[in-house]
Amino acid sequence: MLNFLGLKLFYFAIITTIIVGIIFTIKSLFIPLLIALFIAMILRPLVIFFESKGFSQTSIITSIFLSFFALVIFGFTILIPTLSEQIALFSTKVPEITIILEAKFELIQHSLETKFPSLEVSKFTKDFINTFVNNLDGSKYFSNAMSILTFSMLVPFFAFFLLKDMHLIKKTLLSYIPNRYFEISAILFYKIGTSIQLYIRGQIIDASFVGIMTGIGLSIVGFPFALIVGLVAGIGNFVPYFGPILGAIPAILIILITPEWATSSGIGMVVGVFLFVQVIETLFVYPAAVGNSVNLHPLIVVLALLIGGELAGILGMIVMIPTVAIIKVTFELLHKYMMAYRIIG
Amino acid sequence: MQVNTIWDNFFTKNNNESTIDFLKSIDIFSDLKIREIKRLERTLHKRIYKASEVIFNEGDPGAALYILKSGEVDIVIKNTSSAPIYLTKLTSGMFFGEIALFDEIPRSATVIASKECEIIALSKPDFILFSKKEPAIGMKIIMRLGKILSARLIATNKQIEELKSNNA
Repeated sequence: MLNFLGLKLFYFAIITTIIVGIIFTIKSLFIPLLIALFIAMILRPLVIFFESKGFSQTSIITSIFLSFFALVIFGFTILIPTLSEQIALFSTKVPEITIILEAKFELIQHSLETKFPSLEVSKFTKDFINTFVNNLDGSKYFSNAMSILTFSMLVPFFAFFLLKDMHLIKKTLLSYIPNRYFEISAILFYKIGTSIQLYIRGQIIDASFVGIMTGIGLSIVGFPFALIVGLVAGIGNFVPYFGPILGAIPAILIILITPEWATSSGIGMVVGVFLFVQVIETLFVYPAAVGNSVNLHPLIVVLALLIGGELAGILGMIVMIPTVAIIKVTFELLHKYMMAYRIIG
Repeated sequence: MQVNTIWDNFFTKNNNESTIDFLKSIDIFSDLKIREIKRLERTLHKRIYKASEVIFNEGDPGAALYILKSGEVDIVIKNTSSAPIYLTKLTSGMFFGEIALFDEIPRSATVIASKECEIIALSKPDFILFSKKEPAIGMKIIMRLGKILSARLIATNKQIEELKSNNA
């Protein structure tokens, strides 16, 4: 019995090592594939809806993708110029932010070094500022032409075929499952898929609400770079617990470099917008869109952020949170149904 | 045991004519047109069970309807104090586990292959998805299943009445 368990653990360890190895080796493919899977899962109900109205699957998927590209082009012509203008302008402010940050850190450093002379605070603060400022320059995320090309080609390509042949992939996988596990596998595929679909859809609705409302709110009060702040607040919202803090970083930096906003009334207006959006989101949007289905422990969130960052930088950090949520849902359902089918005692 | 290889699933039209004809002869699908059965066939799973292999166990959550294409199965109820109680034998063309399409309630009996069987399975998730995509076909199947289950209920009620009158 022990040998059998040992052998199982040995195989599990080998398979896990291989999977992790593959992920690290082909991480440039892994992230687009994961995003494509998310897109396919979000769009699937739409395809099913139109199929029920008598349209063919291929024509629906093609139409969805053509509409998406039309929307992207429309976005590029209307929204993106303003946004990229703001990003470009923000990038020019980076040296100014660096000087201000260095001055602030020097003050902290000085007081720390007088209190704790043995600490090498100066090296730490220099490294921190360098890393932070490097990450600030938004243009750097778009500088790698190859990665943009890979993303813009691979994500729609994977998403198209995942959407079109999802049932075929599932059917093929099920055909390899031993008879004993056929029913539990069929149920798990469905339940896990549905849970993930609802979770991702909910997160996107929630993040879009935060992003759009923050952008609009800050634009109304006349805050500079409102669109960038809204965009970051929306993306940051994917990260539980730390999302609001991450989302507020650009606003804090802008206040630091804009004297007219570094007043109590200016700060009050920005805090007011953030608070208003967060209260509405916490009380009404999040419970309705996401619910309490996936609660991640703060420690897990930090670990996921570190692994995601190691794998694929900022994008990896954003994608890793829903991935961990998916893994959690999968294990919970797996455990529930393995108990129900008496596979585990 | 898998019937189709990965390449069969990806590169061949899987609408096997004999399977379509076979499905048309099954009571639950008798209201469907050939083109409707062809659509449904894409969601079905073909599986092979060896003699003595358990198809599902009493008490397991129900997740699929099974149609016996070839071979035979025994339906038994497990008894903790004595040997399993044999209920009946099903042969080619018969189906079982249909309640699973409506509810996840535990299976009321164990089904064991008494000979090697070729079985066509329709899982509940696939049926739900198929009915969303093809509501008209899904409705035909549900209506047909409703009729079959009502007929079985009436027959069971008659049997109970007969048993009661015999005991009185």
